[in-house]
Amino acid sequence: MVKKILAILIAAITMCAPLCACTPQNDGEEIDPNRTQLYIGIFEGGWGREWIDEMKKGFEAIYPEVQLMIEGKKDEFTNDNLKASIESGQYDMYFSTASPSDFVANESVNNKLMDITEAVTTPLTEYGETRSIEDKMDPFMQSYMKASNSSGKYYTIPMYTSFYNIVYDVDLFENDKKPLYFAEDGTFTSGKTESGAKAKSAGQDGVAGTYDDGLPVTWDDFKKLLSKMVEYNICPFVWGSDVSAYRADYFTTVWANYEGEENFKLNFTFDGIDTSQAGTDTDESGRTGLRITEQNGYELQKQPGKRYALEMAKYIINNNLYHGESFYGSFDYLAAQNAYLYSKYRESEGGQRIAMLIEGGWWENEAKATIEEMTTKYGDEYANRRFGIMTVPRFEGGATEKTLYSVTGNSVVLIRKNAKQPDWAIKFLRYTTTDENLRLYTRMTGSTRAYDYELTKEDLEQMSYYKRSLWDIFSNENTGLVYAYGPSKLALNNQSYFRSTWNWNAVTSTGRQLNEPLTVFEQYGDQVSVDDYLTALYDYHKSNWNSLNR
Amino acid sequence: MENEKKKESVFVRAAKAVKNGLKKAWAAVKKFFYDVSVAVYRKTHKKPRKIRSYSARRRSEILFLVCLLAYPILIFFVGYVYVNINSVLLTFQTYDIDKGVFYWSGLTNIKKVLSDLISDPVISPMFGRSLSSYAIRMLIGFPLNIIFAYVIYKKIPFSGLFQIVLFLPSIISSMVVTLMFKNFVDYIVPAVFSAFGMKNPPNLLFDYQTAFGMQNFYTIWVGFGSQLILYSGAMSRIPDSIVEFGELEGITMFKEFWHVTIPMIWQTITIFLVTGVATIFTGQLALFNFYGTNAPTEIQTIGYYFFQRVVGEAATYADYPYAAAGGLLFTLVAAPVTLLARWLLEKFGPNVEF
Amino acid sequence: MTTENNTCAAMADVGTKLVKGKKQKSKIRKTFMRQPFSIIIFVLLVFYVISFLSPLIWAFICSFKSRTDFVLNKFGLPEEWMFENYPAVFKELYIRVLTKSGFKNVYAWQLIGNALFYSIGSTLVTTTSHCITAYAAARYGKYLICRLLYPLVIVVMLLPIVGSLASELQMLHTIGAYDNVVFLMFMKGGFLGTNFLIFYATFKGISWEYAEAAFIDGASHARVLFTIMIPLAMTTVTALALLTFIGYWNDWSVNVIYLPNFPMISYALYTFQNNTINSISSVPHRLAACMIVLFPILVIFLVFRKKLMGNLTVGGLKG
Repeated sequence: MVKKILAILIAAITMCAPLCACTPQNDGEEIDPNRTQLYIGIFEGGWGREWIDEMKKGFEAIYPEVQLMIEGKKDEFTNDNLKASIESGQYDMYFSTASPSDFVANESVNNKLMDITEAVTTPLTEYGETRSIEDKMDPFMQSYMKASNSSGKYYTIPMYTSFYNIVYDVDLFENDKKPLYFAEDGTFTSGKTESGAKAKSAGQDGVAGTYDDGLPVTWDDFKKLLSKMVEYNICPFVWGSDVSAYRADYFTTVWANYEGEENFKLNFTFDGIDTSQAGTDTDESGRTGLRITEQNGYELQKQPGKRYALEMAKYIINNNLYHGESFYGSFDYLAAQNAYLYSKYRESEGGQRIAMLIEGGWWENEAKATIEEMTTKYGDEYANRRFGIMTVPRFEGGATEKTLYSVTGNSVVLIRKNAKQPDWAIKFLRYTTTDENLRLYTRMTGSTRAYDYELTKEDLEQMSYYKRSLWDIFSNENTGLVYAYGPSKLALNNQSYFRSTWNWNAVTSTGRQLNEPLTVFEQYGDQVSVDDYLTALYDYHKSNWNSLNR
Repeated sequence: MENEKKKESVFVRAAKAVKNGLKKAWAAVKKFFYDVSVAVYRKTHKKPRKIRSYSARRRSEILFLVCLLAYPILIFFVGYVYVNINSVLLTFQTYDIDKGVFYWSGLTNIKKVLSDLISDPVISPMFGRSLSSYAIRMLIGFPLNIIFAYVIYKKIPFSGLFQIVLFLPSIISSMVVTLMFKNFVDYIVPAVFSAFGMKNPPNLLFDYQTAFGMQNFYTIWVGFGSQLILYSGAMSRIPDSIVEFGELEGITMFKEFWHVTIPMIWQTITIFLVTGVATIFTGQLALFNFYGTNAPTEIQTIGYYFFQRVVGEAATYADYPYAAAGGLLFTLVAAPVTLLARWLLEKFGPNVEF
Repeated sequence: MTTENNTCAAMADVGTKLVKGKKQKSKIRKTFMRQPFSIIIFVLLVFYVISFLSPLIWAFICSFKSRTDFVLNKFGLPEEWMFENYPAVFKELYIRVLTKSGFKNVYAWQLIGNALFYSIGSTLVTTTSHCITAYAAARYGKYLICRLLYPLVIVVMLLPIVGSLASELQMLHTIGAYDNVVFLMFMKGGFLGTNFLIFYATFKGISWEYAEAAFIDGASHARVLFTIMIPLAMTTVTALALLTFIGYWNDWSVNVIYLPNFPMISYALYTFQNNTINSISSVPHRLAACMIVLFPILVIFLVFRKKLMGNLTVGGLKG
């Protein structure tokens, strides 16, 4: 018996051999002995690497004497692995997802990076521009990059900005028979004025023609939308079970929106007046509220925005407004993307359509292959599908001036100190931040970078609906990005605490661990109420406060 | 039809060729070693051996041991002591983030670990969970392992199949086994529950009431491989005469297992009982495979907690001393317990030499 | 009556030193179904086999599905058998490495070859080292250093190591073992770990009388070890060597940390599983990759199954 099995197995191997041996293969990139090589490592995640391959072409066209050797990896080029290998590794330059202070707040690691202050502050004249990298850089990022080391120098510059959001299916909302957009009068409409439907409302920013037209403004609108979906037999939400950080960060965005930019930023500056809390302190501009310092920072856990975010999560769980597999361990982010995309096909077979997905801005790149396969299999109606970004609902009493999206990803460009080709590395660093290449980056990935630049009409035409929505949020003056990390000493010294623990992690007095609102309410049901959650957050962070590094 | 025959003959021929090749290779290897040993023998036996003095014997013994141990001990010092000396020293240090350096802080870390273990609402129950999962492994997994090894050794029907399947989890990468298991529990199990009329089938891996049980189940479920081999290896060394004597007496399988097999493989059992003590503190179940560094606290064990304090997403240098202190503390408890267990088992166990 | 005859026959076999595996089996089989103990165990084992094989078979079947098929139909047979998944995945199981002449793609065959080289080499070094150290510890207890080995291993097993990665890499760089597969293999020559304890117990369990007899005949220490003790412990040696081999084969992290330019198949599987943008990152493709990596190890296991376990092993008194 065993012999037979073996015989079959061995035969199978021999049969496989010719099949694999003669496939034409692209065998990497050879060193050109006539050129100088610059080795670059990029974190190759959802944004892909096409953009840097494109920049390589451009750069090598200007400087034919140099050859860029670019390698994309994941684990190797981030956090501890990168810290351990950067000195002795083969790469001079990294485009990594790591927070700047991972590298520079720590003196021993700081010594491994090149001081690029000069490269950042000198105007990009060699590329025909008058501004320097610093001139273009978002003011917040300037202070953040410099604040993460004690000397006020640049060791890193920001790579990409990204935020987690609720993705919605535009085609579904535009359905003639079951429309889901709001008209100005509060009824639902498909917004197709050419076929006689009412026009979409102007949305939160009050300006027609922007990404938020027809989308709910307040939480009450949002609830109305959700019950309409249920009425239409549409499943409102889906998410991947393995990416609880995506969900947690979305609720941070909800909280930030209630507070408004000034109050929310206190969570990372610990210096100012929290006007959303009762108090008699005033600042120079006459705002009254509770003064927040590094001593009483835990009081921020009482910001009312947290309550509303939690109530939103509780509402979604209690009313069962999510796809049934969303908490399955094997239902990862790719499975969630697939379930979301395929729900359109399932609908045609009598299944439930899913309206919204909680994801990061890169999801469309990750799902590219699925969309292509659906198109070849089921026809062109599955190609070029349009996805938009849902507004963040407003709650009564909350801030209304801007819709805020909280940016939580950290990513930096850095050059190692003992680089073999320091001059070329700096040249390429500067090259990637020219206006043209900033545009190229956004056009190809949909992601934005924290610099001041504009896309042209042609750029926008090449981008998908979803990528345009991302850009809309980045460039729209009625929306704002807030960075959920900051330059205060306390925040920098406790990076991981304020990056992940601070927002939604706590432990109740009975030892229940809370980490992400949706998971908590699903897991504990009635055992943890919104009030319990809030009490736990306050108590937990108050008790931790004195043990934080200062 | 003819084609099929041809194919089959190809299979068979391929198998035969490979088998013959292996056979020849094995024979060549054997012959090589035989030749070497003959050569060595000739070299060393040219002259009739003199009866050596005591001190000469002693010297040769020491020389032999030096040859044996020099390399492993060198590697131990280079690859372990040198690399990790810092880890032990960390126990008495604290990290100063401002300056990016560690400074000496005496017993602070040890005190913190102790107070956490005793009174922290999250950490103190972990110790209980570690103990209970140890108990589950010892009371269910451990005996099952020996019994399975025994029935396979006894060649019950399908024992070849059982043997292969029990061993599969050890050879398949854990990445794959976890993937399979998750999908199975997520999709098939609820379907089975619903088929039996259950309305809201539980999400077994997510609900904290069931997740810990699932972790223990999984750990036992995939944990048969290596021990099984060593037990059956040990059992195969039991002299047939002893087994047959029992059979002549007409004892049942269980009696034979209890009175013959267990005592005869006691040495092997001892080793797992002894090394098992440490797993009270280091055991992580399969939490990392299933949840990464974010397992719900309701199901975390001490081993997992300290592990993720160091490798988790939120880990910083500031966490190292705490974890190092925990490690040192556990060593101080577990090392004597382990040595005691070994002494007890060797002293009071049925020690049969054969 | 028949049982008695059988036992008599068995006894006779013992007397004449004939092999009796088959007879013994048939006897046990006859009595097997009458004993509650064995029936319970049998049922348990059957459940185990079902519980393990069904997900495995599920995974195997799914590896032949198309992406769409998997999303829409998780548990049925494939709508259309996508045999091309395998060659497609095999082609994509490659790792780009940086060599002196530039980036080079290392494809599956070479990845497998690399893995074999590394796993076999490391296994030889590790097993030898464990075996001889344990022998010294078990049999030369009169020397303090040998007596210390056992407690040392226990203590090290318990002491968790925190944050030593950087210093370990530094050390490997200093001695030139970083990214050098041969050197790294020889760094596996330590004696720490459970395998030491198993060897220790094995050597403790083997009667010392043979050795004494050999010593009286004038045999050297090395001769006793290599021609008497190790052959007696061959069951353990083979089993542990195979287990060690499998461990090395499945370990992907070694490429991430120590050997960036000597990629192996399990690392390719790992990066493949974590691929987010690749056009072949669907679950069926991932499962197909798993199956490809599983395959060689399964063959090795089936070939060496009898060496690994079972009653035909040569060891102890039977040898």
